[in-house]
Amino acid sequence: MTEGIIKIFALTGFFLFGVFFVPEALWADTSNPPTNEMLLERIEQLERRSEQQTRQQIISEMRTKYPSLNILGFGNISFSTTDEAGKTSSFRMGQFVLHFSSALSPRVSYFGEISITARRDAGEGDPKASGFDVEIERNIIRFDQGDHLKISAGRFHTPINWWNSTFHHGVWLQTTIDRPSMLGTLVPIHFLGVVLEGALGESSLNLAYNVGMGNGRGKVLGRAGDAGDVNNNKAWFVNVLSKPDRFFGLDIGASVYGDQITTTSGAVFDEMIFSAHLIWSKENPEVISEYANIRHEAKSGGATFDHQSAYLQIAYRLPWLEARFKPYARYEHNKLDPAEPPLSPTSLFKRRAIAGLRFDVSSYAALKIEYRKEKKDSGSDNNSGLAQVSFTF
Amino acid sequence: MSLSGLLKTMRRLLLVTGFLWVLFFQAGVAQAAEDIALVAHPTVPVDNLSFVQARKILLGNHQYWSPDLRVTLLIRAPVARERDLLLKKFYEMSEPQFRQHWISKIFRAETTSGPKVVFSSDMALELLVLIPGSITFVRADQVPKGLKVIQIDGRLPGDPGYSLQ
Repeated sequence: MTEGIIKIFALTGFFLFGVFFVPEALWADTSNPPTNEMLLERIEQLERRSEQQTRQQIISEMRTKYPSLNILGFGNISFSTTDEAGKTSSFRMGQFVLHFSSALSPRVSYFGEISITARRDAGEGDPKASGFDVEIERNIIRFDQGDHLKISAGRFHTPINWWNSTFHHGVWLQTTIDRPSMLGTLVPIHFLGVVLEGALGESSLNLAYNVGMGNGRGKVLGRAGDAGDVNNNKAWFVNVLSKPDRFFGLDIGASVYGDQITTTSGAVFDEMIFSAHLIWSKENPEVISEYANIRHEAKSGGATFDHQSAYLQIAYRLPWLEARFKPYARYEHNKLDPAEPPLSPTSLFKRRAIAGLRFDVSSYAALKIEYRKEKKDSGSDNNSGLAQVSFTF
Repeated sequence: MSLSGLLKTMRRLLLVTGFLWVLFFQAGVAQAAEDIALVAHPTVPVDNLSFVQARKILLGNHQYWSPDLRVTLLIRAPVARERDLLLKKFYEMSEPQFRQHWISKIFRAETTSGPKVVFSSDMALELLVLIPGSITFVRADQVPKGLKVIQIDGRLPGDPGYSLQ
């Protein structure tokens, strides 16, 4: 009897040991090996599971995370030759530009832009060697209240010029090799301060506005007051834009900009700029036209100087050869007051005509060739030929 | 014509009419199935959009449904019929122009990214369910029951004059 009980316990112990400790593989029924159908079904199951996991992984990655940094770059390399006295034909490395955009929350976003520019005098030594200048071009933090109000602070492209807002530092985006001459000295490019923008109501005109206040020009008028304003009068601007529903592709707008400028010699001028644009943004045809009137009034003596600058650019994307070719032409006219002390605009040309061809090598790279004819106030004519490869990456 | 002849003619007429009716009805059903539906996450607070409003949303000019709800666009990868139709009807752009449009938008700091690219209708719908404020475009016969289909100019897929046929 006792032996029987011991046997039962022993058998039970062996059974339990087998259940819990013997590897599962040893339990496998090897008398019925899996058929091809079973294996195929198993492979299909595994493939489905893998596909499902991959899709879920992609979907999980696609859900917006904060911060979500995206980097975009622009670059170009050019060659130019000219008959202008004192200038040589040369290759030039254009600006190397990096953009950083990031959503910080559903309503807060950041945008940064850094440029690295080759300069003849950016290096060290005496005389200075050539080298590269690194610059923060834009540095913007924005809070969106909605489509009707977006509040930003930082360093902007002054939005009183359409070209400046749309293409500046993005050479691949623009049809031509260079920007129009009105940008830079005549119309300020950068602005450090606060900007409010948004849609104006809900009409078929699709009106929008930009209002800003900040440091205006620095003592060197082509530069913004990045390290502080040169005087206590802040620069300001207001612009109104419209993209009417009825004419899809049409973009019209007008701006006013006011500032007080102080030159390196200490002279003070009130500055007032009126500008307007009319754009047909489709490529068949593409029409870009802008006008600006720049008025400077001396604080002492009251002398007033007016400058006008305008350009018209027309391009057409040809439908043949996969629509890769886009011929273009632009005419620029600057009517400048040579007596104006702050701008000393005599270095700018009076008229410039360009004609060129853009060839889109790929979706993200373009080759442009261009001929230019410029006439200066002195009466001299200059002819130039340029070629450029521009790209985004 | 005798009465039996008249009946025979009537029978033939009925058969032809029935055949034509079935043919056109089926064609209509097939057309409705092939129309592209604008599908939205349940939180999207609209049931109907005009063509122009839909275009503004697709262009990224209208970015918010309400102050707390951002628009998220889910757009099929190139070659899909849904994408081709959107580019042709709403954007009026070629594929390179469409890419440049979104690069320009980011460049002007108007948005931090372009539309989210989805590789199938299933993926579009799966993502749509997960993201409040999202919209996508899929074939009408692939829209599961219970999802919100937005009318365009008061019309749904299959209706005469619907924009995305």
